[in-house]
Amino acid sequence: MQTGKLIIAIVNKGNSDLVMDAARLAGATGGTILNAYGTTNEENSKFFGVPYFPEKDIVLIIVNNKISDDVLSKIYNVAGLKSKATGFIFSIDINNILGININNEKNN
Amino acid sequence: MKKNNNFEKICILTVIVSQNHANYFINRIINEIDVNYCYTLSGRGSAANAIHRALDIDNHKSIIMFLIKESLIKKANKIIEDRFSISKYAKGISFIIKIDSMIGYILYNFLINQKKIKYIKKENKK
Repeated sequence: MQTGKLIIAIVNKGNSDLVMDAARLAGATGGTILNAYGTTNEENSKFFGVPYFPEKDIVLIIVNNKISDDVLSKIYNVAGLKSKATGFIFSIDINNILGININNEKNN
Repeated sequence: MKKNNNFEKICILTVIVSQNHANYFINRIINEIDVNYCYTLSGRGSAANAIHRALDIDNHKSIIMFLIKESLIKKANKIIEDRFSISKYAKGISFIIKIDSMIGYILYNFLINQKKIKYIKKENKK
């Protein structure tokens, strides 16, 4: 039974390539990208009286436990809160991984 | 009488496949296994579009999340593995996320497909 980490990076739309390039440098192989909208206080999110909600890309990357910290820090360095991507990045534990062999990642 | 408090744990079974293969998993897992609820998100693969066109791979993905009892994971994984092994076009990724806690007894019974609440009769002590 394979166990690993699911890294979730929520960045501004159009910055998913930044996230994936950084993750690949650290040894990840690929990911899945979802489209989403951020939620915010309606009063603060008006542009000339017209409400808008920031568009986001959510990037999901599966990595093994050995390289997860490295991947997280590399993604944060290029796409973190202080970058143009204003990314929010975290990981959760996953198990019973099928369809991908995460123990053959580049760094290993 | 007292309520049966032997709760079964629930987890999230996530399957990421090409968009045109999603219905197969939804139909099989819901019909053959005790799963009452799933939801589907749309996404795309991270490789460049040019690579997808060159390799003739569909870039559009469906992310299906099933709420499933832990005891049924093996059965679900068997269905998923058999499907993934058919061809390269049917390949995908699946994994499990564990749930620590949840709120809502009726919701819980719905998710584990508990058709009625079980009660255990206490024996009268003389």
